[in-house]
Amino acid sequence: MKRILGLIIVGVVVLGAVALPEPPPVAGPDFVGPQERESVAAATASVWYCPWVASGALRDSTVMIATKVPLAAEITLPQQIADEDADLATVSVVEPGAMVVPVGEIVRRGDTPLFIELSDGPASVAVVESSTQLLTGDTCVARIPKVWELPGGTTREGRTLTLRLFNPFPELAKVSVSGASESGETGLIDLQNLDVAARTWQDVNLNSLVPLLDDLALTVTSSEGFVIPSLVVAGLTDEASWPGVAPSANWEFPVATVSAQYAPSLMLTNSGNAPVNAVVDVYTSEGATISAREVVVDPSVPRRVDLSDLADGAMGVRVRASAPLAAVVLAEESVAAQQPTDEEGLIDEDTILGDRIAGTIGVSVPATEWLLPGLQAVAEGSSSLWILNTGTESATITLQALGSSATAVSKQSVPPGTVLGVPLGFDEAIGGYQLESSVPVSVAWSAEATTGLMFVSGTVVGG
Amino acid sequence: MSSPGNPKPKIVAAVLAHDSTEVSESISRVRSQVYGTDRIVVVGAGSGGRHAADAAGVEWMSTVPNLLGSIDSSITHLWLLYAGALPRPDALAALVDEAERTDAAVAGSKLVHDDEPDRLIAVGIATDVFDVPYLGLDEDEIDAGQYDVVRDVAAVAGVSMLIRRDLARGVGGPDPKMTPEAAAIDICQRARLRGARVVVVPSSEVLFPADRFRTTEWREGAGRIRAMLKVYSLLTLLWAIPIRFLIGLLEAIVSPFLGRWTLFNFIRAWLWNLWHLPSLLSERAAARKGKAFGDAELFRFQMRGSARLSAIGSEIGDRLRSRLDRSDNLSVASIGNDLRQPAFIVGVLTVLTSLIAVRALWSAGWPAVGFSMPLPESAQAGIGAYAGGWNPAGFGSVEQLPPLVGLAGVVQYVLFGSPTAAAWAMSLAAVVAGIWGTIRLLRTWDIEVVAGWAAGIVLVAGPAAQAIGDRTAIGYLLGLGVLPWAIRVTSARWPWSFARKLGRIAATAWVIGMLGLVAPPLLVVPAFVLLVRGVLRPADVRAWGALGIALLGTVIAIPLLLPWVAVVDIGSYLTSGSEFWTPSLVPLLAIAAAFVAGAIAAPGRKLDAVILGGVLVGSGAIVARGHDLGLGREAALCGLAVVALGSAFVVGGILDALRSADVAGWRRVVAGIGGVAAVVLVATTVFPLFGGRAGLPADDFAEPLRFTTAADGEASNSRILLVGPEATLPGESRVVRGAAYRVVSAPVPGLWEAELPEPRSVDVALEELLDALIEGEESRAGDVLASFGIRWVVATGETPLEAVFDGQLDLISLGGAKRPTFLVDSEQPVRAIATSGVAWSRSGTGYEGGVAEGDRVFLAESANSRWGADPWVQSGWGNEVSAATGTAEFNPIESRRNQAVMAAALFAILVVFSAFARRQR
Repeated sequence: MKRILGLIIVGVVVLGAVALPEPPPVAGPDFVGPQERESVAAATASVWYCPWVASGALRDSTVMIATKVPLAAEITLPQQIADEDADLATVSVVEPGAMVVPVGEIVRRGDTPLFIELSDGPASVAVVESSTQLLTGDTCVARIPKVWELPGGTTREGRTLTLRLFNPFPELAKVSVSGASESGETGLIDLQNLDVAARTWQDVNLNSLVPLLDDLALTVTSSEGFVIPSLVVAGLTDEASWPGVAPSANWEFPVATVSAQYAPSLMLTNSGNAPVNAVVDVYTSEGATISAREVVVDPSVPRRVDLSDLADGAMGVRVRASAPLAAVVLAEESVAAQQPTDEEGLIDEDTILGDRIAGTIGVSVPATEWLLPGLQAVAEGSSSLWILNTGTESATITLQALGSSATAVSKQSVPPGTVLGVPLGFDEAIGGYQLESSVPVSVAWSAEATTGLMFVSGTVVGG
Repeated sequence: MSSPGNPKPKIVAAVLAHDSTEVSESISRVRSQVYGTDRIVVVGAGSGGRHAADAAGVEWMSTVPNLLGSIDSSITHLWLLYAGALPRPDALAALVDEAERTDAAVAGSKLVHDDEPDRLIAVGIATDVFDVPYLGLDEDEIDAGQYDVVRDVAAVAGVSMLIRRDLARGVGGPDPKMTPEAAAIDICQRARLRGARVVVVPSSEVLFPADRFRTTEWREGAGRIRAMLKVYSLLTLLWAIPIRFLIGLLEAIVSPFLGRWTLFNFIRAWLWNLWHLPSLLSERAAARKGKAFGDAELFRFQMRGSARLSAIGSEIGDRLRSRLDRSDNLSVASIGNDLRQPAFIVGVLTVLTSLIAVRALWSAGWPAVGFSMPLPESAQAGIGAYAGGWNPAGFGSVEQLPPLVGLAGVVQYVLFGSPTAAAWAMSLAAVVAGIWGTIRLLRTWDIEVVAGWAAGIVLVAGPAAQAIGDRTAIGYLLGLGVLPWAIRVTSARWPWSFARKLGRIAATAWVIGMLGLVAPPLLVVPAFVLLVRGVLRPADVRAWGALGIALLGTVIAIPLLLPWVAVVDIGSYLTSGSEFWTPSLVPLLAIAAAFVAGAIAAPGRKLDAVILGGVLVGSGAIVARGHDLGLGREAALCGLAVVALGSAFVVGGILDALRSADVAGWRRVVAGIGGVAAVVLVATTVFPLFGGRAGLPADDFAEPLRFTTAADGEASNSRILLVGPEATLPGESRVVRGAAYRVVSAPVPGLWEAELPEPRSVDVALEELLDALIEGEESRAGDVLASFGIRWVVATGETPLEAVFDGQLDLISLGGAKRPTFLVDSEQPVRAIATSGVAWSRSGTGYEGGVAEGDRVFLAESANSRWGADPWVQSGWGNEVSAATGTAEFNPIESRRNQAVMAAALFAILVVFSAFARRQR
């Protein structure tokens, strides 16, 4: 009896234990890594990396900051020699507005890629580099992906292509660069496992490695650490520079050219495995030409789309692709104006015309609020604002000048399917603009001078 | 004989009386010496001694120093003779002659049995370096004159010792605090330090009762320790003390298997010396003042090694020989005999098994993995932190540390502050006690030692113990060692004497209290086990009585957990954390088979043990799997301990059933199947036992984090942020967006950091930083981490948090580290920094740095106004204090400190009282 009772009691107790359910698994992380930073003006502190900056005997650069809030900006200019102390400068923007910081006032030692830490946001940074023979610049970047796409390069006759690899971080970066040209994948053996020491940079002259390529698109991949690349196409005098981009199926370029004097072209690169169909829509102040071009972009073969025959004068472009592509626009002076400028028939190179170049990256998603650091602040030339409305509704634009006396507010209307150009000249009291629109638009600005032409894409506020 | 021209030595005979008996006979023997004495004095024994002296017509003095003070300079020697010693008529003459001839300052007699004068007791004494005497004689060795040569010895017996008067006065005479034999060794050593010769004179024979010569009283051991501490240089003591301590500890562990119990003597001997430390220091100063030789002179006359260890080794060897010398030692019958009386072999097996089970802890202490972490470097800091001090887990708090921290601190303190020795000793003691306690407990239920040993093995290393080990619950592993004792002490026969009854209750209270100290929920287990036993045996009055004692003991034991028990929210304690036991199939089936077989086949009380074990396994499993019932980690671990105990009972019951003649026929077949299952269960213990870490997993952090010690500056001045899956992080962790992380001290977290306090503002600030990193909104994480005192970020496993530290402007990825690691690229990523920019060093739970008037120190600890030196100011989530004193300390919470002292005092009272009462007849 005792045995049976014991067996029953223990059996019941054990069954009770067996019946207890296992706890449900604990929910894992709701993220897979850090939110990828975008080059947008978010309402937080941010760091902007500006690789193509120089300030020396021949060139000058200006850092343009536009902000909607008061903030402090710490500018760090690393040395090219590793472990050397960086030059530092701190500026404050005490009210919402803009600030123009000549790099030469901080340090004057030639190439000086830099990064700027902004204590608050929304804010954005652009850099303009100029000399007596060139004018170039673009917005700085805040994103730091491991893989960068850099379309739009060329090593053809008369063009010099430089890749700057800027490592602003405190650890060594190991970088591999691959290229694709009209002939397909281009061997860049020397650029595999390239070490970029902490807080330094390297410039790679691609003409010596892969000469005489009409189209060259680069992909920069960091296996360790991070780099911020910039691609620079130089002509006889002027040069154009732009940062890397992330592929997208939709691109809008508010400015592809500012006048018929500059031949626009669109550079597309497909880093995928299958051909991609791309439709190019062209926008002018008069209206849109939808599906102006339809092209197929094969993998690893960059495609240059000549836009000069699609419109006369300023134009904007939209690209709709069946899969993500990397894209930039280039505007190159189409008529060589190398005419003798004196009675002896000599060409004065200081006033040479005809080789001005500009290029910029596009906007993948139109937005209603933009910051445009540097607009109307380029002393060397006249600035123009470009607003592209690819939507179906008219956009009402509110334009707020930013700067020490920036109180002027103007209203503009951009009909659907058009691009609006607003010439703004130079005003030393203005350091940039804030733009608000009733419907999503894409925004960029340009500066044109006798020395050169530059395009700068706007920065979306929000994100 | 004195040489011509030298006056004849004049002697005073001092008969050292213990009581009034035996004095007269010794005095008459002194009077009958052929070498006459100038005075005969009875010394000591109070009024009894005085009366005995009066009766014999001699003087009486209360102490030897008094006697020395009364002797004039005409006296050359003092003859110290124990009352009861019967010197032969020429004994003194021989001593005087040989002392004069050899120029010895101390001379001793040969001692022989008073009832068999041809049997030797001692011919001089050799000692080891620990002043343990070694006579070098066989038991019952016949005196055939084989030692009859005058020779230098380490010491002579105090039974009959001739000492020069001036030397005796110079060294202050025998130490009155010592027992006679220890005092004799002591005075000989002090004499030798001053350049005196110490010789034994075999021609001087003294008859003496042998049983009075060697004593095992604890005071004898205490006296030897005192003698050692008095004479050696500090350098010698530096190694001699710890080794002497460990030898005593080892003897305490081994002696029970040789039929002795030396633990309490061992503890008392050391405590006595601690208590008499002031007098020891003054005596030591006097002994070493004016010394002519160093320790090397003492070593010359000492044996190598340890006399105690040699004696134990010889005893073990004798016992083995007595077993193996038989011609039939390999016969089945012989093996059967051994199995029936295998206490000694089982004891040796237990010790060997235990030593193997904890061998890896000797060098490294508890591994840093999960909730197991090494003990803090400072024992005092551990004790202080438990007793109202700063809880250093995470960013620190005033949350009460678990009692194990305080207990381990005390053990560590006793073991000279060595964290590894403390961890090793506690684990070893737990394994030995667990096996041994199970044997003893099961014997009260008529289960013999072999089955008890197997049950003990299952208790400390069976499937449930493995589950506890896998969960790195050190306290519960230690608790398994105490658990059987806590039940046994209540289950043993209830004594008749009132004092012993009280002693039993006191013993129950402190043993159960010990359970609570290592793992508080175990406090209730003895009462629960006895309740189940009572229910299963409702008519057994003893079982219910044991339950009553257990309940009483538990109630008394609760204050031993102060201040922890007064502060902690028991409900939250038992329900927090998540554990769920999923046993492996093979051990589960083995337990089930053993239980069913036992329930069917085991006879009598063995059946009771099996059924009790089965109920415990089932009920423990309910608790261990009770996540759905709202039970947390601590409750689950307690359930596992109950399962371990139940498994042991089942194994013990079924294995012993095999031995029983009552089990026959088909029942024997069933019992055989159960026996096989039990053996399988015992076999599953091999892996954890032979891992050498007392069932704990391999170290997971100490080695991977060791790189921090190679960094510039003191690693301990900074913290490490660990990110990874929760199971790979040490102790408790926090979660941000579903990803686990925690902050620990560098270079390796200590045991007191296992459990994290409730989140405070500093934790919120860190979580906000991590959230900002996840959102990609922070680019200088290093700067912010540095403000928390965090210098390194280490990923312990796959986690999306690792990637968020990529691309920071001030974090450097360390490629050479064993785990993905980031180094904060900041000037001073330290826990405490003065406003002058100087980092302060961590010391215990506080900090120290340079004294600077007017300077302030920022402490990256959770803000608390008890931090000083004053004035204290809250600085964000941290503290800012004055640097004027050069230290920053947490002012302990007085009430908690008092409670801890009270608990310690109560524990000591219970232990002492129970030991005292146990000796009452």
